[in-house]
Amino acid sequence: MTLHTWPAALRSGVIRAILLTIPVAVLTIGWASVRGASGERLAISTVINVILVASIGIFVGNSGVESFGHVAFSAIGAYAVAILATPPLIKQTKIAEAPFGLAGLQLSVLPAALASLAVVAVAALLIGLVVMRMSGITSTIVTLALLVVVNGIINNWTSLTGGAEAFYGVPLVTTLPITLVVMLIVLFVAGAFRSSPWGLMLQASREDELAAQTMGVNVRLLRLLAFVISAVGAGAAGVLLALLLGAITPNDFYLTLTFITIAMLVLGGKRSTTGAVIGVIVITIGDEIFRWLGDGPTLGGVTLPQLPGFSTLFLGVVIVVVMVWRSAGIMGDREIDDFTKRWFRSGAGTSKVLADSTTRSQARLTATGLVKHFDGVAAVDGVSLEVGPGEIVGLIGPNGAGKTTLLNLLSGVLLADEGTVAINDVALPTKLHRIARTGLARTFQNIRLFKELEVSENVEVTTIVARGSQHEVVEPGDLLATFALLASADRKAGVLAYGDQRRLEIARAAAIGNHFVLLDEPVAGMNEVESLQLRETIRELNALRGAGVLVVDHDLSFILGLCQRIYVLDAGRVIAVGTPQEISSNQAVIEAYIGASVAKDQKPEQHPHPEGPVPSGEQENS
Amino acid sequence: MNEFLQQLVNGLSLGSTYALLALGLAIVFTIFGLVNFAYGELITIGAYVMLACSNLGLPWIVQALAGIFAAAVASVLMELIAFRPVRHADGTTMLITSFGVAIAVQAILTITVSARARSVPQPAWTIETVSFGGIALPAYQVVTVVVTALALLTMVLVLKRTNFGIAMRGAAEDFTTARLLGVRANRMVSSAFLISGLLAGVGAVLILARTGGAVEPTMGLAPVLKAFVAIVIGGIGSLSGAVVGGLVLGVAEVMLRAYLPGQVTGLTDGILFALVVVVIVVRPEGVMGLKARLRT
Repeated sequence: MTLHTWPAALRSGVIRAILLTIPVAVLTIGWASVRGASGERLAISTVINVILVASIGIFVGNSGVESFGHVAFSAIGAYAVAILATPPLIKQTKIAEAPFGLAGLQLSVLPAALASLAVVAVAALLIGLVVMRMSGITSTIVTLALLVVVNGIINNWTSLTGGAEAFYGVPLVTTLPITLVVMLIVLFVAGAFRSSPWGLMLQASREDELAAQTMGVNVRLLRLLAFVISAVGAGAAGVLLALLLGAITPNDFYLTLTFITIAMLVLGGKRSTTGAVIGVIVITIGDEIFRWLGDGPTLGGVTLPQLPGFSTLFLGVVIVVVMVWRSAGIMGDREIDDFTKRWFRSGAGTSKVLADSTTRSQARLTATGLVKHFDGVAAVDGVSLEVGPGEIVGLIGPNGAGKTTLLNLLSGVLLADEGTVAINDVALPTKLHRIARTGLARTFQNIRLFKELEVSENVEVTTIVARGSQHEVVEPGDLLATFALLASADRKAGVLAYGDQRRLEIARAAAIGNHFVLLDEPVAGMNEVESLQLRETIRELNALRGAGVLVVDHDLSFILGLCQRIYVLDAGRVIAVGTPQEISSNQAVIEAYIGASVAKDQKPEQHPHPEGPVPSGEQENS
Repeated sequence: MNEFLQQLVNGLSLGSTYALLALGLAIVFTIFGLVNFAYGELITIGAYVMLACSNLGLPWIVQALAGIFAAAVASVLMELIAFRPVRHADGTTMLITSFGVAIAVQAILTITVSARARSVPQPAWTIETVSFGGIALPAYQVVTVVVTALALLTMVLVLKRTNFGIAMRGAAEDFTTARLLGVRANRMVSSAFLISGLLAGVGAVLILARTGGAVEPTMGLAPVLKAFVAIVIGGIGSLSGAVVGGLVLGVAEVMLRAYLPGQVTGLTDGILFALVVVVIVVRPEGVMGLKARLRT
């Protein structure tokens, strides 16, 4: 396993950028020297496309939120540098009426370019602040609207941009070496971000936004960060393109460029920086071939018909075929420098099974008068409960009793209509991602792992969060060793066996939950042997960090055998509280839950047994 | 006052077109989980078939019916060819697939017809005006409102009264359960795409009446974007929300265009989208959307 630390991220950023720049430089410099001026132009625009696509990938690949609007940032960058760097003499004829005296302004190219990037960054920050408040699919639609709006503004704000006609006279300073250097920087940033703790947390939110938030990942902030970084990269591509073309129109940064960059991104693989480079090169070659074919070349004496739009058809078909055939693209998650990973491999050999903690948590979880309605039905109706320091507490009840809703209230996934949840009399924060930082973590009834991330990475997400909020942090490797998952550390979480997935989810919660871990039906779908094993796992969890555990289940034998204290929930209310002995002989519980004839024969000492509680209906029939 | 009423009718006419298109998008989204970017190209295909029929000298009503039919067939074919293979993929994969389909259709029209705009001559009544109590209204606006109202009414009747419609609404609520109860998945999906295509085709006819018949390969982008925004306003996943969203959007757009100062009318869409963003930020689940069960 490879840990996501900043030094490791910077190192792999450097290695990846260099390994990727070498072949691109060889290809483009070679092409430019063979084909002269026109070859150089193609070479430079190819490198600019690498900058653009790798930049888009920083946001799209890590966050999993598709964007069709990044070309708008290229447009902003291009027009900003054109307005700032074009000599006033030319501007007087074109945009003499420009606001803020921009028509008379003369900046040399480098300050103009840097100022343009700053403009892009500010624009991206303002747009991102709004867009990141929306759900994934809505923000994708908004990015497309952004593209249309920016294009509309450039077309219509004639006094500033010259409108739909070409803005000419932009200094021609973009050269192949300059572009390659910028590409090297962008590839470094993209590579380092992807391997960094921030990148990992953002990828976790890509896999499961809710789970990431409950594990303490500030999804909105990280998305915004990635959005701004990737927008600045796209802006740099726009700046370079303006300084290459000398004359730009709004449509240079509109649908055609959007189509081609999306084809490049999906072909190579959105999640991989190496994929961005491969996608650009393959699409560029294909695009050139189809463009040439579409121009009606003469082949073997036969002149083919002119087919304008032929290269666009190629792009469309490539996108559809890639999505159908391999939606992760050519590279998927792989990178050119993967082979170097084993040189820096950390810790599988040194990981140790953790000893039981000597310090017990002193935190007490208190819920008071919780009420939650769904469309007028009270799913939870005035529940108060308490989990003492280091206590293992069970919550049982028939289906529909409100167990999962209660757990969602306790973990902050749902907001209560009435009532409070507090740890040591301090109310839980309202922001979901802050709750994990108080040392309260949970698992989900329908397992919500970060499926496409490695097993070790699943745990690492929470250890990173814990590092920012706790004194005693457990190492991911040690946690995996403790929960017997070390052998699978490098496998993707989604391919683990069911029982291992449950254990991994508990290990992930254990990394951050040093005060409380809430488990939602951990033995659902397990046989008796697996359920026994899991009971031991939960005891380990409890011993490991001294954390209190609240287990929700309707497997009575499992709960009776595990917990020190049990709450029984029925129709949204607590109908009984007590020790396993008290609960199994409580008349109200027997009637509501177990069925009279079963309870007579079952003593808590007998649990768990192969023959657990039998549903009342069947028992009566026998 | 008269001017305001005229603008209001104009807004309702534009809004009802958006509502129609948004409903077509929403039907496919609720059943199939696809945000169909290629929906705009169904409009384009309908318009180009009308162009072809017009070049053949066929009467307008035949052009219109052929355009609607073509859009519906194209919609079903798109699903069969491109979307069925990615049916079980995540939303983003389907979205990008439809984006690829959109690009491909645009390219095919560029190759086979032209990248440049063509014109479908519109019948004389589209530029006439009708008077209601002293208010002169362009005929196409009145026709648009009436046609859309009829189309929506038909949709409501089909969805509420026929077995097929009830099965479809069930599938929109929970596709898996509907299948388990015996609703045939492939037929349901094809029907959803068929209805979606019919609505796009009707939209194409109305859009041509409004714009005087201009067709070009990229003509679908603007209306599909408006339809997207409409379903976002109404709440993604809600059919009635899509209709309300479309009407709201159309009226807002016409009012902005009419009452904004002259120098910023070019920025109408920008201002409109900015307003929509404010709405979404205030009500992330949309105006009519289902209440979010989980905080995400």
